[in-house]
Amino acid sequence: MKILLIEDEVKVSDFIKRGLENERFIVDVCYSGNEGLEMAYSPAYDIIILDIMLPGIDGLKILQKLRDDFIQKPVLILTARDSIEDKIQGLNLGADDYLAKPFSFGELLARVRALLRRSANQQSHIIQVKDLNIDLMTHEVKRDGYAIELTAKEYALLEFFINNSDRALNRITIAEHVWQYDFDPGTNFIDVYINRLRKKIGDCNNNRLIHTVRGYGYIMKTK
Amino acid sequence: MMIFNNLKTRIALWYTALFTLVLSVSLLASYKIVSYQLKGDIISELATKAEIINNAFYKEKSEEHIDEENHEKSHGEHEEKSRKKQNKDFQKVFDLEMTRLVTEYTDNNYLLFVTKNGNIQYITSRYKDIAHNNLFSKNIGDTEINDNPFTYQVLKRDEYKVVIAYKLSSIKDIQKRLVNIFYIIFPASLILSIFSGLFITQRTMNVINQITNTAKSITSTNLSERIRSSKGNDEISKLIDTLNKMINRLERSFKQTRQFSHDTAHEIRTPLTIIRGEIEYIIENESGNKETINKLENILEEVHYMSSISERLLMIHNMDTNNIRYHFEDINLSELLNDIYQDAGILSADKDITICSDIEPDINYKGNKELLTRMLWNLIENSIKYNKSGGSTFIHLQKDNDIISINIKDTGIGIPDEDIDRVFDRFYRVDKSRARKLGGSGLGLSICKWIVQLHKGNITVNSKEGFGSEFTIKLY
Repeated sequence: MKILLIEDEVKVSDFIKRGLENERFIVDVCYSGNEGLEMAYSPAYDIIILDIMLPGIDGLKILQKLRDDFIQKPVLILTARDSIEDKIQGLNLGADDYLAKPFSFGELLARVRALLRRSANQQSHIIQVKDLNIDLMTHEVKRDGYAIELTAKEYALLEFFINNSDRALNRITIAEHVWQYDFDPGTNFIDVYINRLRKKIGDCNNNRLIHTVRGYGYIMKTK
Repeated sequence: MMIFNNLKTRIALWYTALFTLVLSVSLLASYKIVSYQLKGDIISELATKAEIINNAFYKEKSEEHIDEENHEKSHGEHEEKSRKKQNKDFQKVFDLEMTRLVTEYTDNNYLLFVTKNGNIQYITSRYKDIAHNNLFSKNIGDTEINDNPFTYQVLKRDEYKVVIAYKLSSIKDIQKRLVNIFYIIFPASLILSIFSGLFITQRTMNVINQITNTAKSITSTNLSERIRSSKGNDEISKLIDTLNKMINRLERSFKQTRQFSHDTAHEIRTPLTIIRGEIEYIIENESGNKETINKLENILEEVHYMSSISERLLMIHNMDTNNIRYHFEDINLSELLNDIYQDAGILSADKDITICSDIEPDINYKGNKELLTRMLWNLIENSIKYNKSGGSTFIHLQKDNDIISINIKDTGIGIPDEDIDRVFDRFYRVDKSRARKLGGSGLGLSICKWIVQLHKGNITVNSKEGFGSEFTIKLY
């Protein structure tokens, strides 16, 4: 999978690139709007991660030009601008998702994976992790053929793990994704929810999906 | 004395006091002047009367004188006779004249009497028994007869002494009447002056009150408002102008501060993203020293805390500039609150706090889900954070006559009375040392209030230090 990252902030693009490469993506980085626009037309990329505030042509204009030329590849907007108008404008122009800084890498990765999956095959919205089946459209979860009832939060948690499979996720990242509100990261909030989820999906010692990373968070191991 | 703290009353009182003083002085002066003039009139009247009598004397005397000359020229019995006769004639005429005068003066307030060699010869009949010679010692003066004041003049001619006096009781009557009039005028004008004083001050105060009310209503959120200026170039419009200029300066510096905090919050987001990304990268990829990783995790928590502050600051900027239209949708408030209640249960169990809820099912409300969730969570989280071990939190939701009321009550540490009015202020923290430890930035409640107001509701707090707090939200 090849990703085009258009971001002028070298340090930000650096850690995104490193993180994505760690997940075995191929990442090309552009540091200006003009260069980014040129590169965006290349069919080599599966997804574009686009910063809004750029030197030269700004991110929203790049997005508009792409969509005007019927290039429908997924675009994830990345911005430090905390303006809901920007977000609305971006989504209206055809952006597929939106992420405001500061974000965690786990969140970015989850969204990139979700976008890639969506564009790769619109039909196949069922993911299988070992003996666990998840329907991303209907939010149905089955393990070993048995349907499992999950609450909205439990489902969000599970989906986040699947999108970040084989990566250790820290509590803050998990909390930010699933809950809309802040809470003290010191509380055992996440642990309680993970335990409930584990119980529901029948995660037990000899066939464990979600593993605890002591002192840090959790990881879903698919291998 | 509350009433004297009121400027209006004070001005009216001063006005009345001054008016009373002026009124008293002018009434007293007119009383004195009238009395003085009346007496002056009487004295000159007496002088005229005395002149008439004097003229009568003079006539008689000059006749007598001629008689005496005649008497010197002629001799004998005849002369003696004629002289006697003439004397008799004079006596007759004098008697007649005096009787006439005495009668004439009987009916009014005059007293007239004539003495010859100290014996009273004629007297106004009314005063026969009371007038004594020795009452009239001076040529002109005042005296008292039978408790009645008199002013008199005395005329002396040879063996005759004529006293003419006037009873002053008529002046007294006029004075009494004047005083009676004053008795009516004085309180009437006093009342009138109080009312007119109040009226005038009221008019002035109305303008001032208007200024006060506008100034009072101007807070950090509506600094663009101005006091409506009155026409003209008087003191009041100068005052309004000065106040408006002051608000101008405040607004400018407020805007600068706001812009600064917004810019700062905005600027730190990129470095925070980088710090966060780098730390996460290190933790995930280096299987290094456990202690180092622990420390990095602590840093990560602090970065998270900083991010949430910067996010709140940006939110506050949005609150102030009011330039964002939030998406309102139909929300099942009961479900939303139940969700939060479930999460809060985890938090409270950790701290040995009992949490109870009484949530009326299926209450729907049109609002912004994200903001309402944030607000409710913030209040409930506070009720757990600031609770005592073994304490409890109650969540209550009900709908009555289209009014939704949400009640969050705890048995926690409460809020001191002196702080209660300021808990919704930005950056206000009751217990500064404790709040930081619990992750409070002093922005939570001000954001809660803004969220409630955005939904056209209101939020109130009731608290007793040491016993707990109760937040009530009403949505319409």
